[in-house]
Amino acid sequence: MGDAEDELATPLPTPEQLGLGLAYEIKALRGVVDLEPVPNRRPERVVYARSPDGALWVRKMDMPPAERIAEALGYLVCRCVGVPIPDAAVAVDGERVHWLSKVVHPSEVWGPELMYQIYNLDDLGRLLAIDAVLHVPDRHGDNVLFEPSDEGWHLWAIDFDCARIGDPGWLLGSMEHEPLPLAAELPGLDVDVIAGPMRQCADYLAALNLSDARDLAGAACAAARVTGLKERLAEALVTRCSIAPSLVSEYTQLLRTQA
Amino acid sequence: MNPQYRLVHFAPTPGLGARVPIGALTLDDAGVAFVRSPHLPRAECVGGRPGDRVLHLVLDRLEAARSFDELPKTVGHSVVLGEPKPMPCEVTTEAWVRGLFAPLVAQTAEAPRFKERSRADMGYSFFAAYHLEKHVRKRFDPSEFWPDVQLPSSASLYAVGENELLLMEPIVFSRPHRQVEEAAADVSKRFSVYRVARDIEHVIQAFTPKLIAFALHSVDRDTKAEVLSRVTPYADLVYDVDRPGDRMDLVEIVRRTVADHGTGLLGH
Repeated sequence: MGDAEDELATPLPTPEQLGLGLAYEIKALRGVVDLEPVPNRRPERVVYARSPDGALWVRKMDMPPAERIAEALGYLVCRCVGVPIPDAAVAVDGERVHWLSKVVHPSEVWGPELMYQIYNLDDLGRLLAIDAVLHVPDRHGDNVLFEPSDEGWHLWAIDFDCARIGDPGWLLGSMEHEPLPLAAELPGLDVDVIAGPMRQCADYLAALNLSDARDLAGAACAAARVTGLKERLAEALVTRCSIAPSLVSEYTQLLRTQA
Repeated sequence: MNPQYRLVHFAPTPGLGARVPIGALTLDDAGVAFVRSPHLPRAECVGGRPGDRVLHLVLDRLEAARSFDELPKTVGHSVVLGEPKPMPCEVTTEAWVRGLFAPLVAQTAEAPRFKERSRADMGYSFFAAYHLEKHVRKRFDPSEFWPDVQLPSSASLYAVGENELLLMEPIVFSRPHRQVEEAAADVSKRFSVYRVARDIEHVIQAFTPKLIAFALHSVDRDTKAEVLSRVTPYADLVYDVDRPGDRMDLVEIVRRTVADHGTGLLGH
């Protein structure tokens, strides 16, 4: 499958283009009001919400610190790599912190019939590479969105709350016995057409240095309103990224086995 | 068993609670089925063309419903399932449920037809995923290849090699069954024209078109097998891209064909 793997429809951005090294800020919003629950999600935890500026968000209620860190870091890494992910913010309500993700509308979730209709297919490969590195165990059909256009369907990454990077101590301690997450459950996934972007994304992440990792970890901890974890998170991130090529290679094989 | 139904609503405006009925799940002695509303909302009622595309995607996915208790897993946040309600025992389930939507007739008369992506576009996307978009072309025009031969039949996709021409027809299953049947009949007819021409026209014999049908994804394997069995007698090769082996064979035959031939016989 050499040809398909080696070609990319869109090249990865350079660190300079992305501004890697400059911490991405995740805004804190106040005065966000809830609307109705998001259909077919856990109604007590996931609702539509509107901020004072009129923006429409999906609000995840009362997430524990590890999930907030995971969401924030997943968001920041996607931004670094150029994988489309909806704008994010946190809603602060006294001591309570809720994660906000800008609504992608209209959109729908994964289905096998979309596999070859996704026009940013490289981003699907990059997303799965990020999942392998951040140890996301629940990349299933509901956790990726597709927005329609005349050219096909545009992929958006969402939902990193289960990423085990949110518990950096566990992740560092499990490198030997549980290095990879469960394989993504995306029926109809054609690994051959995304293996190239996965590998390139892994090479890109492998170049992350400790300074960049600290910036990202700092921004994630600040957004998640978690203190005292920045260094541990940076260590976990840079450790995982340093072995990204082998992690992603093994994860690609895992996806092939499942397919 | 007392037959029941559950209305299925499309949620066109996130957060506002708006709901538009688009069909119903039914449960009777024959099992669970999805009955599509015969009168769907206009595109402008569901967020314009993008919203309309999502609406028709979920309608296709709802056809796979096999449970009365929950929606298919591939149906996400755009759809809300109503409460179970009884229906009369003595009625024909589908007709009775379709009748539920009758009051919408006056409001949605002359609704513009949903513009789906063409079969050619959807098949082309498959090859684009394998970075073959420079080699696979849409809408084959036989008069460009054989100006002296009268061939009324075009083809959705084609690829040109040194001595070979691949004429390819995708079959899209994420559509109402009637459209799938029509597409299969259309493909068979197109291929039939070329098969006859191959036998009698020496110009064509010198540059033989290979007739390839390939099936895109379908959740209903039985329907897919049945439809493909009707196309098979007219095609030289038939592939099912849900099968990894078939998928790679299809990609390989295109790669092999175009390998030594740049971008195409006519310099396209």
